[in-house]
Amino acid sequence: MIIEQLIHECRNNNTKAQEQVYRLLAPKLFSVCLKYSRNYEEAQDNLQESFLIIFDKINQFKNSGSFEGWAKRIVINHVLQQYRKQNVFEIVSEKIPAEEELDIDDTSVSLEFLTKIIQELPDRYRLVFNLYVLDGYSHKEISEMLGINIGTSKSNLARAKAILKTKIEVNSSFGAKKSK
Amino acid sequence: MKENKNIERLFQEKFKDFEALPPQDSWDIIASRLHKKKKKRIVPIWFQLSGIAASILLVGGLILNFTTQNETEQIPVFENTIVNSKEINNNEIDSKTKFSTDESLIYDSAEKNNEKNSLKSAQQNYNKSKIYKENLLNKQNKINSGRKNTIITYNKLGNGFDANQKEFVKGKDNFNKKSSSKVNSENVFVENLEKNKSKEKPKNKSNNYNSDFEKLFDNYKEVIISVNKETFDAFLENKSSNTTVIVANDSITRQTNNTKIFVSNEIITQDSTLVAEVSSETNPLEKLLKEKEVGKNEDDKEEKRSKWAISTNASPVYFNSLAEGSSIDEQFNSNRKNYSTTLSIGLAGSYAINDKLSINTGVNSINLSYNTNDVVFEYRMWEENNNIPTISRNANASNMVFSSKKGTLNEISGDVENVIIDNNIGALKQYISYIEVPLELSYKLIDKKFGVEIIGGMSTLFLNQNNISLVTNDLVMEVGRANNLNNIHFSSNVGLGFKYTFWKSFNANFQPMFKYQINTFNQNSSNFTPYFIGLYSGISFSF
Repeated sequence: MIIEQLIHECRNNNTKAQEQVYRLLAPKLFSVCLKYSRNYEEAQDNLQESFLIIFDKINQFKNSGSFEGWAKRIVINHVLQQYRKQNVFEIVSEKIPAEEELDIDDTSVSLEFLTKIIQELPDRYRLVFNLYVLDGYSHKEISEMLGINIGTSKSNLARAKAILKTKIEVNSSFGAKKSK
Repeated sequence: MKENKNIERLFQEKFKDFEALPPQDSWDIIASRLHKKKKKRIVPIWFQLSGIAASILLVGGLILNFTTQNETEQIPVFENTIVNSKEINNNEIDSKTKFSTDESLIYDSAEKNNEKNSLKSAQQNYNKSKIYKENLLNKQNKINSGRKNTIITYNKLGNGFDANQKEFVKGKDNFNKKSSSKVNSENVFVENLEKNKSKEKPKNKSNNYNSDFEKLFDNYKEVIISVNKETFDAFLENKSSNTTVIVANDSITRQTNNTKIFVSNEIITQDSTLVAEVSSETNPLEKLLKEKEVGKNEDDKEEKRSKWAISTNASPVYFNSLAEGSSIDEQFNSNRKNYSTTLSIGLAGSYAINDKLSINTGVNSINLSYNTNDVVFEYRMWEENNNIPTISRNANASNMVFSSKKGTLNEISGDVENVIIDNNIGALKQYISYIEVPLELSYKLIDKKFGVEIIGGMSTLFLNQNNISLVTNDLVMEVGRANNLNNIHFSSNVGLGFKYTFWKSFNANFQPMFKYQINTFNQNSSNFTPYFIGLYSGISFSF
C-alpha cells in the first residue's frame, strides 16, 4: 500500500516521494547495476540514468505487477541499450565447451570477488551470464533481447562460466596456498 | 569445507539476496537532474502565463480604446450647441438663463467654485452624463426611429462644427489631464451640469411622455420645418448660426410652452427643446446628406455589433469507432478495444456574417489513442515481413510477430503453450496526433446574455504524430508506426454551442461537437470508422 502511495506521489513529481522510492530500491537496483556493468563507476552511472528513466516513465507503470520487478527490468533494458549503442554484440564462435563441475570451497569466495570477476567478463558474456544465471531469462528471451541467436547465447554463457571458473579456481588455490 | 558445485548454483546462491548501497552522492545527482528536467518544463508554463497576461493586456487595451472612441463620437451630439452658445456672447448665456433659472444658478456657483471644486465631482457628473447619454439614445430610438439617424447625421453634419468639436475634445483632454485652464474646465463643468440637467429628467419622465412628444412634433411640424431651413442654413454658415439656433430654440420653447404640457416644469421643456433641436435637424440632413448618411450609418451599426471574436478552447476528446473493426489489421476486428479519453486544445476565431450566421475557424491540437487488447506477441529469429503489414516496424520490433489471441489459441493446443501465450499477451496501442483546422458555420438560435447556436462544418486534419506501441502489464515498447494513415484527412462536424456573456465582450463557451472522420486511412481499414466527441469549453472575446 505504501509503495503504491509513493508511486502515486512520484507521478505528481513529488521530490520527497521520489527520494523515498530511491532509498527503497537503490540497494537492489545498484546490485543489478554492479553485476551488469564493467566497473563501479559505470554501475553508478547506470543507476542514475535508470532512476531518471524510472521517474520519467513511472506513469507507464500499471499497478498490476511488482514495482521492483518493473524497475529492475528498466535497469536491465537501459544497460542493454548502452551496449547496443556501443555495438558490442559482435559475432564470436558458437562452439559450446563442455560443462564442468567446479571443485571449490564455498566459503572461500567472497561476494565482492564474484562481482569483480563478473565485471571483468567481456561485455556480452557478462550480459548473457547475468541474464541467464542470475535473472532467470531463457536463452530464447536473451537472444531476442540482445539480437543474437539462441546458439550464440548458449555459447556465450558457457564461455563466461569457463572464464569465471578459472578465475575462482586460481583465486581459491591462491587463497589455499596462502592459508597453508 | 569443500564441495563440488555447479558454478551457476554458486553464483545464484551468493547473489540471491545481493544488495549494494550505492555511493552517497548518487541521490543528489539524480535529484539535481530531476530538478533540471522540471525546470525545463516550467519555462513553457511561464511562456504560457506571460502569453495569457499579454493577451489580457491587449484585450483590455482594445476595450478601453473602443469605449473612448464611442465617447468622442457621441458626446459632440449634445455639446455642440452648448459650446457654440458659449462661444458667442452674453446674449446666448442670457437666453440660456432664460431657459432655466436653476441652471444659471448652478452655472454661477460653478463659476465661483470652479477652481476650488475638486475635479472628482466633475468626473462623477461626467460619468453620469455618459449613462444618461445612453439612456437618451435608447429613448430617442423609441420615440422616433428616424431620430436615431439624427444623432449620427448631426454628428457628421460636421464641417462647421469640426472646430468646436475639436475644442471640446481638447477641453476634455485637458480635463482628463487635470489641466488648470480655467476656460476649458469651466466649459466642461458647465457642460456636464447641463448634460445632467437635461438628461436626468427625460430619463425619469419623458418615457411617459413619448406619445406627447409625438403629438408635439406632429403639431409643430410645420413650425419646426420652417425653422429647420433657417437652422440648417445657419449651421452651414457657422458665423451667424449660433444666434439663429438660439432664436429658433426660443421660438420652439415658446411653442412648447403654449402646449402647456411642460409648463410647470421648465427643465423638461428645455429637454423638449433639446430634443426638438435635434429633430429639427433631421429632415434636411436626411435630404441633403443622404448618401453619406447611409454609408456611415452602416459603419456605425457594424461597430456596434461585434463582428469578430477570438476564443481559446480545451476539450476532452472521446474517441471511438462506429463499426467493429481495426485500423491495424483485420484479424483484430473483433478484439476488445479501449479508447482513451484525450485532450484537445486550440485557438479559434469567428466572423459574424450577419446577426444570425457566423463563420468559425481556428487551430486545434488533438491526440487520439486506443488499445487493441488480447494481442499475442512473439519474438522470431528472423525478420517478419508479412505479419501486420500496416505497421512499419522499428528496428527493435522487426522480429516481433503479433496475432489475435483467438486465432492463435485455435492453432495451438496443449497447456504449456497456453501458459506461454498468457505470458505474452498485451495490447497494441495506437497513438495518433493531429493538427485540426476546423471551418464551421454557426447559426444563433438564442442570442442574449445566454445564447444557443447550432454548428456544422468540416475540419481538415494534418497528421502530426503516429506510433504503435506494445503495452503489457509491465512493458511499453514502441514497435513502429502505422503506414495506412493519410497525412491529411477530413471530418464532418456537427454540434451545439452554448455561450454565457459574463463580462462585457467576454463569453464563456461550451460546445459539444461530434466529428465523424472521413478518409482517415489510405488502405482498407476493415470497417474501422472512427469518430470523436469533443466537449469544447473556453472563453471568447468579441470585438
